[in-house]
Amino acid sequence: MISGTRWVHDERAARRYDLRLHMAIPGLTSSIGGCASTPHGGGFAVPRLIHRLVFALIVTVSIAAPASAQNGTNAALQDDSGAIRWDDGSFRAGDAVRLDPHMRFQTDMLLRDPAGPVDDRFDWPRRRIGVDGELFSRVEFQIERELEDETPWRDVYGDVKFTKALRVRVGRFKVPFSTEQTTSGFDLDFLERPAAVEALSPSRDLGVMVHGRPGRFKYEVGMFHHSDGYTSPSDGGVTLPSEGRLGLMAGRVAFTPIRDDKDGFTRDLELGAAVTRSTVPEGLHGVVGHSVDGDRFFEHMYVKGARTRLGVNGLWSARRFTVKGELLQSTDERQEQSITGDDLSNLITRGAYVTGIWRAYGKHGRKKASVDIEARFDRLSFGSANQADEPFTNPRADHVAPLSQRTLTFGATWTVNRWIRVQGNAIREQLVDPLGVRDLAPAAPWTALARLQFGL
Amino acid sequence: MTAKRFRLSLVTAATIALAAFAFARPASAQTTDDLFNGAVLQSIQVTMHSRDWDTLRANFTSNDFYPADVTWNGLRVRNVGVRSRGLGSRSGIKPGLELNFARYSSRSEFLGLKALVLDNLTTDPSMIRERVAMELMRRVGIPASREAHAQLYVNGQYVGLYAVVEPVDSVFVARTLGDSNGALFEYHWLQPFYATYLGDNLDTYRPLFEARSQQTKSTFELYDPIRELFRTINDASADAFRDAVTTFLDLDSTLRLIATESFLAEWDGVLGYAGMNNFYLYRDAATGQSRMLPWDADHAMFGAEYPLLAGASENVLMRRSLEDPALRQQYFAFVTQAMQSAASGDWLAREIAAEAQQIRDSAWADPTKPYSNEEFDAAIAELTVFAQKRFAFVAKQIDANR
Repeated sequence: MISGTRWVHDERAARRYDLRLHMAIPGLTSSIGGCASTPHGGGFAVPRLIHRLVFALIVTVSIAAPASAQNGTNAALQDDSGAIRWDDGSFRAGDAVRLDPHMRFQTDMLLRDPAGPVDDRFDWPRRRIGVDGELFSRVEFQIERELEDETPWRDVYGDVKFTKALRVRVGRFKVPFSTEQTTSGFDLDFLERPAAVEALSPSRDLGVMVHGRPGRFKYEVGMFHHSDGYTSPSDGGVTLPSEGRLGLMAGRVAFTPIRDDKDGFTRDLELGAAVTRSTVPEGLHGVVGHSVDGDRFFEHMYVKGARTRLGVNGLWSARRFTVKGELLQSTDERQEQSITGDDLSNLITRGAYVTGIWRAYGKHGRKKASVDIEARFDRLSFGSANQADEPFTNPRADHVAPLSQRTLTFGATWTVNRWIRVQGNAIREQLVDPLGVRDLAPAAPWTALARLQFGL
Repeated sequence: MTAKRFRLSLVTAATIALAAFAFARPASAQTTDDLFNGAVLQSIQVTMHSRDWDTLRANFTSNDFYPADVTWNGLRVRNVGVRSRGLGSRSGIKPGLELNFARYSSRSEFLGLKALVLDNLTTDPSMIRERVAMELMRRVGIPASREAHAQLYVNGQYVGLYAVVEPVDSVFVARTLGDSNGALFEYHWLQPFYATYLGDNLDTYRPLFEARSQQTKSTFELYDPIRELFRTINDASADAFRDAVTTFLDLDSTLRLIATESFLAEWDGVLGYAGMNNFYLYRDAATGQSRMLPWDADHAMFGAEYPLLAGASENVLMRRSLEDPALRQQYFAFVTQAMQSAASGDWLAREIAAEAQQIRDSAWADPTKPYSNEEFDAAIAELTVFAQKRFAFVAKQIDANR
């Protein structure tokens, strides 16, 4: 895009560059209109709101660029480093522009399947290319695309830094809720996220978010276009509840009283809380439960109304040990969903996990060679506010028969170098039906998986 | 209070309690005999979300279940799974329904039943063929589903006249055969099949015979005996045929079923016009012997002069059975028994007349049936003629073929 030219920091050039940036992602606006988790696939017209968001992104970058370009000009004049160069995996144009192209691949191998012999042991869960970078020390951005996927665009956003305590992000990115969900799929401690996180966390969405790190706090507050993947009528989607509009509000705050303390027993300590609120249209949109092999063990329930998620998280690390975990809850209203059209009691889905990590080899820091030994216990449970009547499993049951999934995972992660990582996991999951209304299969034996991850 | 007044109070209280018990008992003591009591035109109310009912009718080819409450005779069963059912009778206007009481809780049941079938009667303008046929089968000792007619109301609206049919499941085989530890299979018509040997591949038999119990058993455990049954039917020598087949199949009960269906001119049964159809196979766990159980006799009484041995020459099992002198005699003896049972006290004609009389008003008022009221009356008239002429025709056929 900018190779072969000597790039000069001036206002006109900065604006031209911004223009090129947005021209370089043709079709982006139409592609990101469909949320990754939307149950309503298929093409539809580019909604007006998406245009507004993209326009806001362009305007934000354009406003930020000239001011920074002015500063950048001074910097360039001072150190004469305005030439385009390749530096440690990044294209740099002076100190004003940094572009980090990347491609990352994961291949999984199923080592042991309790269901029996398998025809295809290999899987490619993630194959992504993208670029992220920084412009004028003021605007960060990321564009990432999955290869061969129905919804290829992943993160596509710009992030403007006004101060350390005030940043604005616009585009398509992960909704701030679970810390595990917002961790990149290439940086996970295990091959898969905990079932509770997968089931209860919102995914990527189009939106705008204000965030920052004032002192020892970190906050993220955003509004998003889609409501957990459900598209609005203007997108050709579902019919809205008469009393509300689709959309999702999310906020997360974290407090870090101790951070990277090399002298004390506790190196890191972080405590956080999160909340989201959205409106879910009428239909079979309740939270589902998936087992390790992808089969559903808990089906969608009829819901209509508000969905409220609450979460708390904690992380504590000392020397070579790290312990972290989250408690998550989702509450769904079920207005007019009984067989007679009356309201049903709220659906309540709760989840939690706790992870312990021991760094057996290597120093603190992800990019260095290391070996981690990990263990995790996670639990996901389904039920309803009504726990008094006779329980049933049907999607309109007032007392939803409770069911919980308990998963124990042991793993090891060998980070060979900054590009290659090898992981192995042994997983055992168990379904527990405390009231005995289901005919459950006996607990499955261990499933074993291995992953080779390669990234540039 | 004097002792006399106290005793009087006690007697009064006891009388009231007894009276209350007497009035309460009919509701609490109802059984499946009451539900399948053919002397009564039953009434069933189904309450379900109007959107679910619309979806069920719109997607009537789907087997998706929807939750509903079901009320019969003052008994209300909550959270019942309801789905569209049937093969050729599937309808979005008048859906055949399965009521599955255990769908949403393995602890749930209704009068001891795990499920109930509401036959939409769309393939039979008379709306009584199946019930009459099953009634006769039970009279001659064949384990057959109990049936009664019922008016079906969904969300308070009269949907139409249905037949309440006892499903063939583990509860049924336990009731009729006294054992439910065996393997139950539902035969599915996929293509004309005349009891020929289909080869060694067990996967060939699996779609024809869907396991309705013991689904967790291996394919070999479930289907090897079925493969060997048809191998034996086709490959056994003439001399060894009876003993060899008896290892796998209860020939006595099988011939009795075929004989009764033949008397009833069942056009779509074991010797159906397009191959075997409408039966279940139950394999006893102790003996390994299978037996056929009848199902869906809505094409019975096809015609008074429907040949007694129609389909017999095409079906390998029947053809080879008739080639065995003893089995041939046995078969005609069973036909004679069925005929005598139907003729006894003019049972067949009276049963047809009684059922027709019982359902006529409801049938005429049925807003979703796919035929006119005149066609209903004409079909009843045809059955009346069948009851008049079938006996003489079958007697002639027996004499000619015995």
